[in-house]
Amino acid sequence: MCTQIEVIHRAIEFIESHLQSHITVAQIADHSGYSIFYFIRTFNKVAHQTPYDYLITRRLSEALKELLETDRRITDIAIDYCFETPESFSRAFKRLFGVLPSLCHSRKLPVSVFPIPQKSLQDLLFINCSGFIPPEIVECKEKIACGLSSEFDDDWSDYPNQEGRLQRQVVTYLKGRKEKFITVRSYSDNSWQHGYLFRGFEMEKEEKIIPPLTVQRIPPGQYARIFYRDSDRQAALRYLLYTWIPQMDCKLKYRFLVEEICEGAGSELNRLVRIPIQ
Amino acid sequence: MQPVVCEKKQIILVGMSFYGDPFDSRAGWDGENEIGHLWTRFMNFLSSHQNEMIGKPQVFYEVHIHTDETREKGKFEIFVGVEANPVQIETLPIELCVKVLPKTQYAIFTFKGEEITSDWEKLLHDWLTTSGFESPYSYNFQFYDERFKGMDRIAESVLDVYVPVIKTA
Repeated sequence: MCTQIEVIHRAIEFIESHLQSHITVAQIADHSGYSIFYFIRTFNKVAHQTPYDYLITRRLSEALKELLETDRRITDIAIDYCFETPESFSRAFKRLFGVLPSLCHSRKLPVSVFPIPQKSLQDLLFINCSGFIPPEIVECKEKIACGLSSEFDDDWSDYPNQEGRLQRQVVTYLKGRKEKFITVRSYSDNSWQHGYLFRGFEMEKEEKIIPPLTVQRIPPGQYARIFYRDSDRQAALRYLLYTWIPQMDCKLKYRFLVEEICEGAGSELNRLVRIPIQ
Repeated sequence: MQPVVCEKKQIILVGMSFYGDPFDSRAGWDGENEIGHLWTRFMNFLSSHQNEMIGKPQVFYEVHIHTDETREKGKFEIFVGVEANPVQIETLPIELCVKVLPKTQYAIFTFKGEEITSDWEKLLHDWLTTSGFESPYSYNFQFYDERFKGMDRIAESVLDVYVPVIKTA
């Protein structure tokens, strides 16, 4: 017998294979073997999103990718993704991304405009794991960190190694001093895949910088944050970025994130990632 | 499961309603859904306006109304309420609204314990496709009386679900 998570994952696969054809929530429920009422209840519980919202979000995200990667007309893209008129497409697009599709042909996109990818089985397992704590908005003070950075290409499997290599290099300059380490990832585009990885230790403003280390300033302000286990890093970030923030009445402010370890958190969920919002 | 089929007179209900996907939790995800919020809103209203109009009701209804958007988008109208009579409606407080359920035949399904939280809507649907009945209206309702002990005592609870039906030709 399938678990509810597996059933909803199958429903997501079904939606993904019908982004360019007219399907109803009732048809997706039928495919899952549930009544429509039980289906929407289960989908929301497992995926933290309504099935209709997921369908529209994914259509708009694929449409955004086409807008960015091709010279196709907005009208043609809108029809491909089952919007009855270019106007209804534009309205839905603006509601999700905050800008009109006609402004998305250029590469200079606002920070808040990025395609939302398919939810994976790992994403669903993370949402439904025991001890899952929903994200929250917090006010953070400015932080200054001293460390090293390098380019990254979002190779998730190598990411911890890359972080570890940087930390080992930084540690050599600390001469045995124990410091609290922090990671900052700055992204170069709206795919949230490429950019610079900084690993360093927190320092006081007036502290002297150790050459050849560099300084990273983390601005004060509002952040959306989520706690997670070390093994859930990718799923936690994906949840925050692709499920939680798009549903909130807030937008991303900058294209970077901060990762920290919370000592004394008293549970396995001792890591947190935070993203600046406005 | 075989339901009992019987005729019911018109039922006048007063209560409150919600329209949309009742499980749309948005970012404030806390396990509570809009149906729960609706019940809380209605029960709070009743307790602060007791005896003003409908006294202390013992029987409650939860009506699920399928609209044009139900199949397409998963949106329902959910109404929770209690029975009232036409005279009471004349002095209805602004916070409450009225639903009139027509005189019709109903198939009554009785669910016990864990069955209450199962996918019984599918069971109703499957029964309708094979029973020689069809539903002339786009609603069904749950009937909560003293046999329903609460969600925290679901194992001891009993719930009746009413589906309007007519015999197919």
